[in-house]
Parts: sequence; C-alpha cells; structure tokens
Amino acid sequence: MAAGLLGILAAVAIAFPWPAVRAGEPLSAFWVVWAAGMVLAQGFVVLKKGDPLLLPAAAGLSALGQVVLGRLGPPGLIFRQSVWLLVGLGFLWGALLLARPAARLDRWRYTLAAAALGLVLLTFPLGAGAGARLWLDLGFFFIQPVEPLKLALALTLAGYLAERRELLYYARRRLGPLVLPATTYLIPLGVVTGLALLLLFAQRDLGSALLVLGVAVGSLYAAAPRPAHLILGLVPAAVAAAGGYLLNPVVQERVHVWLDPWADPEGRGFQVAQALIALAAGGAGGTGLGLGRPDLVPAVRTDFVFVALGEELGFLGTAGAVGLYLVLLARCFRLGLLARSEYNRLLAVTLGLTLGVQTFIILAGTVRLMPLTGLTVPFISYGGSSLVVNYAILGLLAALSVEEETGQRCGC
Amino acid sequence: MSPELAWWLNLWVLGLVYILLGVLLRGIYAETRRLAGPGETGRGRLVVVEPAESGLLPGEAFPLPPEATVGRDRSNDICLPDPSVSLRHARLYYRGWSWWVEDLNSTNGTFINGRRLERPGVVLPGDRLAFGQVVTRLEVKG
Repeated sequence: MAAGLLGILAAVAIAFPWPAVRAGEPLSAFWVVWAAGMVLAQGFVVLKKGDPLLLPAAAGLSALGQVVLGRLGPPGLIFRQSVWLLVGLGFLWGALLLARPAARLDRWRYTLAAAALGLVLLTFPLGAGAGARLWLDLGFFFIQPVEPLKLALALTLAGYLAERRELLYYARRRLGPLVLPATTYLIPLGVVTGLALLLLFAQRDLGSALLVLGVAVGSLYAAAPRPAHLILGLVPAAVAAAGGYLLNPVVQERVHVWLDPWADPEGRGFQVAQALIALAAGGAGGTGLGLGRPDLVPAVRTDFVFVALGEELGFLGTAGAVGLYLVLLARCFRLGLLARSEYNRLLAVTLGLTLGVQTFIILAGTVRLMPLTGLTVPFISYGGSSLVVNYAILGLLAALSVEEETGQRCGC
Repeated sequence: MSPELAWWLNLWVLGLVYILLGVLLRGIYAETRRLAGPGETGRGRLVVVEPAESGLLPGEAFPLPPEATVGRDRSNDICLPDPSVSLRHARLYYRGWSWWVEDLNSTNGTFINGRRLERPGVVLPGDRLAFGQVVTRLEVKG
C-alpha cells in the first residue's frame, strides 16, 4: 500500500516544476487538478484492493508527456492538451466507477465496434488533414476516429474470444495430411478485423492497420494458443506487406527510408535522419530541457515525441520511459493471469496488447528498428483523441483490477 | 532557458522517473517473492475455514502434494465429505511457481474469493478457495 502511494506521488511530481517554469500560463491549475485526480484515483484503487502499481506507471508516462510538450509549446497547443488531459481524467474516473463488473460492457459488443467503424467510414467523405485524412472536424475540435476504434475492437475481441475460445482451440479440420483450425468460427472475428484493416489501408493509415492486426492476432493466440493461429495472422500480414510494397508508393518509400535514411537525408529521409541526429545529440544524459533543437524534427509533438525525450533527457530519459511502459504491460498481463472470469482475463490482455503493440510500433519506427508507420506514443504524444482513449483504457484496467482484487491477492 | 535551470529540471525529471521505476520494480519484486514462496516446489497446505456439513473442524489442515485431487470420494488426496462437494470435484497443482486449481466439472462449482472458476486459475496464498459449500484457505510456508 505504501509503495502505491509513494509511486503515484513521485509520478505526478515529475510534471510539477513545469507550470512554474512556463510562467504566465494558466497551466498550474490544470496540473493541480490532474495531480489531485490521479492521487485520488490511486487512493480509490488501493482502498478497493486493486492493483497499486498500475496507475503510477501510467501517471509517470503522462507526466513525462506534459514536461516534453510543455517544453515544445506553443502555449495554445499546451492549453488544448491540458483540457484533453482533464477530459481523459474524467473518462478514467467514469470507467473506475461505472465499468464494474466489466462484463457489463459486453452487452454492447457489436454496437461499439459498428459505431467505431462508422466513425472511421465518415472520414472518407468528411476527413480533414494533409496526406492521410484521418480527422473529423467537429467545429471546435478534431477527433481521430481510429482511437475509439481501437478501444471498441479490444472490447469486441475480448467478448467474442471469451465466448468462443474452446471452439477456437478444439475445432479442427483435416485437409489431406494437414490438420487446420476450423475457420468457420474465425469468420466473425475475421470480418470485423478485416473491415477495420481495409478501412485503415484505404485511409493509408498504415500504423493503425498494423496495430489492429497485431492486437487481433495476439489476442486470438492468448485465447486459444495454437501456433496455427499465429501463422493464420502472419500470412495475411506478409501478403499485405508484400502487396503494399509492390503497389503502394508510400509503403515503398517507408521501406527504402528505413533501409537507408542517408540516401536522401534532405528529402524523403529527412524525418528519420533528423530523428537519429537528435537522439545522437542527446547522448546519455541529454542536452538539458530547453537546450536542444527537437523542433527540427517533423511531427516531434505527435509521432516523434520520443525523439524530443531522447534529445533533451537523453538515453536515461528514454530508457526510463520504456521501463515505465514495460511495468504497465506487465501489470496488464498479470491482471489477465489472475482474473477469474474468461471475459475479464481476455479484456486485460486485449487492452494491454493495444497499449503495448502501439508503443512498440511507433518506438521501433522512431529508432529505425522497423519501417516507420505513424501512431501516437501512448500517454506522451500530443493529441486529444489518443490521450482520452488511453485514459479510458487505463480506467478500464484499473476497474478490472479492483473487480478482481488483484492488489489484495498479491499482498503488495 | 538558462543552462543551470535546465540542469536542475533534468535532475528533477530524471530523478523522479527513476525513483518511480525503483518503487514499481521493488513492488513487483516483493510480490514475486511472496507468490513464489520458499523454493521451487510449492510447500503449501489447505486449511479448512468453513467445514459446512463435512464433519471437518475449522483450522484442520491438509498438506498439499505437488498435485492433488479434491472431492467427496475417499480416493481423493483431499477428501471433503460434504454433500455439496462432487465425488471428484477439483484438481490442485503446482506449476510455474504458482498453485493452480482446476474445476473438474463439479456440480456446485469451485470458487476463488467468491468467484466461480470457468477455467484453471491461480490461487494465491491467503485466497479463500471454496469447493461447493466447503471454504478453505491456501497457506504457503515461508
């Protein structure tokens, strides 16, 4: 219990000096409300015997995001992000108070998925944004429908897989000498996932397409651990990747830039090359907050925010952030292990995979571990939809841990 | 931003990030130690909390072999002679540094802390493990 309290205090304190440094901006009030909301949420979770280590890890990441974005500015953008932060906090509390038992959410299994797919569909006629038109303009703010989609998909997958896992595991079909999983039971899953993938590919939102595929295959494997299910997921992925490379010039460019960003560092390779230069400039301890030039990297507030972290806080900063992500993921999967009902078990896994796969895809793209596909960095990047949905996911995970009393059962 | 202020800011942010990580990892370590118990074999026992109509006494304990069956029948490793317990009710086994319990299609179900099991689940030290009406508690010797 002491560890949980100390953890949350350290986490919210990370962002503490930032409003003071940027004097003259009404940020301190936001920070006070956010910090109080997080500490109270942690108190609620600990008193109700939930996981005491889940919220501190995420709060630490969110505080790092506030520091980095606060340093990058401009004030107008930080103000909007702070408003979103409080909306996110509202969702976290909403999930904590209303989403118990979590199985209650399963009533809207297909409604949620259909609504989220519909929102994504709306971006075809109405989408805003340069290049990939991924946003919906609601007058006073934009939303990015792919963010609610990933949450809806996690809920749908958990409900469907919890109901069918035994069929998926045991039903087999013989094809000559081969024993294949019976594909009949995979069809509804394939349809929802396929539709989402198709939409995202048509949108050229490659990062989100990769995320949906990763989460779908990962959770199928978690529910019914047959190696064939992994292969079943990897084959379409490989076909899509090869097809994308041959037919889509954007994919081709991404691969070439990934293989050698220095072939054209002023043009196509500019973003990746600048990111590598910035990370190198950061070294072990960073240049110091406010002393680097992360603003030279395109999209440094959103997809490439990790680069700003690496330049000014150095390897220590990025390693710390990765450590916090790993703790967060470990808590999700542990929650999945300890949950007693099938739905709760799989919901913890699908939500954890959503956070984990997204973090992996964008961080690996940033540091040239794999071709870059755009996604936000959970809890750190600028972006209202992303922040709100990630806080909702966090709220659901916390509610699950309270329902399953995992804190009491581990005795920490 | 003066270099001096930037240095202090970095120290504050990085210092707190690593304090936080330290607290979290220490929590995970303590929890793992607690759950793992003393050695590789789980030296556990099952203590009767609510005997129902089994004729057992509260506090009576069954030492657990690495794998044990629980049921009303005398042939089980742990015999709970209560009408709400099925003849062959559940299986308790030690795997991956944890105790697991699997319900063997019993009539009245197996419960961890009041929640009916749908598939094999991890039982942690101190958990209330109920077979039908008979409530027990898992204890691991430290």
